[in-house]
Amino acid sequence: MDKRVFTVIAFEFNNLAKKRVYIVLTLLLSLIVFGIFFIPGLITGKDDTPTEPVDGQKTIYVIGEIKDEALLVETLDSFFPEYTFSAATGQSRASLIKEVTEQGQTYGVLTLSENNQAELSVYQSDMFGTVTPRLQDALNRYQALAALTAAGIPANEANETLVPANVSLHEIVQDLGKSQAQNYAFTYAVLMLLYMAVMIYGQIVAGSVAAEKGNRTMELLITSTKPLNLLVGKVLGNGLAGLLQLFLILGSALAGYLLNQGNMSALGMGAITAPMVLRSLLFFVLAYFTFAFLFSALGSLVSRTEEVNQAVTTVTLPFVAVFLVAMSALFTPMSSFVKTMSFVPLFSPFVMFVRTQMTVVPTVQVLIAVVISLLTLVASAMISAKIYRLGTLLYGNPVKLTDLPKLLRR
Amino acid sequence: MQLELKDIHKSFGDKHVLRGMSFTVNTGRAFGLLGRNGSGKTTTARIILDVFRPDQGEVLLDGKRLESDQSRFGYLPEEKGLYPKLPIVDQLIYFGQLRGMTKRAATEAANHWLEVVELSHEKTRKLETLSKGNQQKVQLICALLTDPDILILDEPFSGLDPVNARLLKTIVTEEVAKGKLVLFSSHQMAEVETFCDDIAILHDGTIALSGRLSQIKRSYPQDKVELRILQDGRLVPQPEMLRIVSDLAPERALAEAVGDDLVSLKFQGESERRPFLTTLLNAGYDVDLYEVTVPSLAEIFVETTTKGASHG
Repeated sequence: MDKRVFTVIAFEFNNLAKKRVYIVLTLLLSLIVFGIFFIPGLITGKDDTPTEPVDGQKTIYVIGEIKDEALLVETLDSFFPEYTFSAATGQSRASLIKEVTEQGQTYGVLTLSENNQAELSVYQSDMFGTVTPRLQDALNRYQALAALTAAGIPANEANETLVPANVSLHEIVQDLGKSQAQNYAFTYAVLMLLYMAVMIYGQIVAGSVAAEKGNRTMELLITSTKPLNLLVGKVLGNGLAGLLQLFLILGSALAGYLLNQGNMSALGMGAITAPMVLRSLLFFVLAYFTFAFLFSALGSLVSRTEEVNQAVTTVTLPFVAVFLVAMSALFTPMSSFVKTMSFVPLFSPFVMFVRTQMTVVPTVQVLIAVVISLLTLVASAMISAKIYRLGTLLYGNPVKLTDLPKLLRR
Repeated sequence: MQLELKDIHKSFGDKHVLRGMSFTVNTGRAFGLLGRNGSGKTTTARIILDVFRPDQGEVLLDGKRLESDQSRFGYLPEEKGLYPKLPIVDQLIYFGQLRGMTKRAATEAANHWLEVVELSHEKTRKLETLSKGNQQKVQLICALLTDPDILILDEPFSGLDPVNARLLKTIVTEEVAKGKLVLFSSHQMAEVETFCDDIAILHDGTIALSGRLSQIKRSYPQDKVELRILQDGRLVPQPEMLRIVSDLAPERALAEAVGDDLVSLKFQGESERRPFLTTLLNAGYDVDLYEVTVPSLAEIFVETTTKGASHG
């Protein structure tokens, strides 16, 4: 390999990146993922703003067994700033209900009876049903306050005692371990992206190698520069165009995320940190190029683009296996099976990636996995270069994989 | 410069394509490597270009082992192929760069050659929109772009009309005159005959016949003549001539009709040629044509590659 590999990289990169389908697809997908991040905000945003109409307070009449009218109204008012409560002892429930249905102004009738039973009749219930639990809290508070004042404690003291102290509990996981729940969505998304990237760009690279054989450009290429330059240039050129596309899409995802950071918990998505992104990048690149080389080598074994699909199944099947193991690691990142697989060539970059995202992995283990993945990548490139050199000038029937070792030895 | 292939063997599987092939190509002379389809011409080109390694034997340039430096070679493959969907000037520049030129040098060379082959006005068009002949010319530029020392042209005339074929000959003749080493491989004998100084015929994996074309032709026995006779200002018709020949020389000449008034004679030996002409003249015939027929390259080729005979 020499500096001409850069000529090939630039040529291949331009060929792919200047295609109309590439540009349109990149823009479209970027817009879509950017938009996706606004959805949680659009859905949950309604929760924060009261749905009540603003034109005038609505009244809720309270009737029935009331021991301390003033205290009850005060307590209810403090829980429901949007309503006005009014004690209507002496009036019949039926007449009040009639009033509720006739005048839109009155919201409902709250009837208290013996044994802490209460009944709320409303003209129209609110969409999210937040009234009932709040009412329950309010009535419980009222009962407690009533009991305390009856025992001789001044009303304001009793009130202070009962107002919740607002103890806030945050789960702090960074120091002690990792939150599987928080990282799940991110890891899942990266795995899916990786799967798509390998499948799509692997096919593109394999197809482009086969096309060069099909239109016989290969003969000129192979006599113009070394096969290794061609193979590495092709894989990196197309690979980088693929990565650029992914980064543009991820960039718009990040922009969407930053603009909607507050609503992300609804997606099961915790904070995305720099180490998470860096780990993803590292393992992504390792896994992606390892498979891209294998795809391109297989592309060189067929003579026409039509035969590419069939040829690449030899790699897609093991790749799907790797992907499935990585997905299982997402659910059982601590299992010994997953731990073992994170050191197996080809599996390593995927499975170790999941482990580092979902659990705390000793640095040594991560380094070992990175080294294994790197060696696998180099081995994949070297084997692919051999197959490529052999395959480039082989025409006729597609080479059977079982014959490959024999041919390579020759 | 002298390119020498020595005792080259090459097999693919159990197919033994080349079995001890040797030949030499010299600067300043167009060399034609001839052979039937599948005889191993393309394999030979690929061995010189270091795409294939020979199982045995070596390729020497001026007595030294050839380094695989692609910039010294210009190659026009038999299977023509470039990127169909790319503008022609772009891919020419790309191939120039692949062979080690700078982008600027490649651009200049591409523009120069497009001018020479009269394709400047088409340079931004996609290759696939060009006619077959023009595509072939682009392919030729690809071979010439780096100003290589050694030109290997595999079936360069296929797809070219007579005008373009002449253009190709002019260009290649200039390259030969510039001191380039030019190797043709072809099975189009007529083109090779008018063009190549030296030939080698590849048959059964070895060189069955090689040398200077004019000498090879000379080396064939000059025992055939074409004969035409005039009588009273008219050409004697061919059946009449056959009768005359068999009357005059029943033993010595084998006569064969060629045209309405043309007969071909094959003597038992070259020495019979002159005495028979004397006999004809003495018998009072007005000989209109009595020309020694040199075998055409096509005939030599057919004879060499069908009988497996080695000659010369």
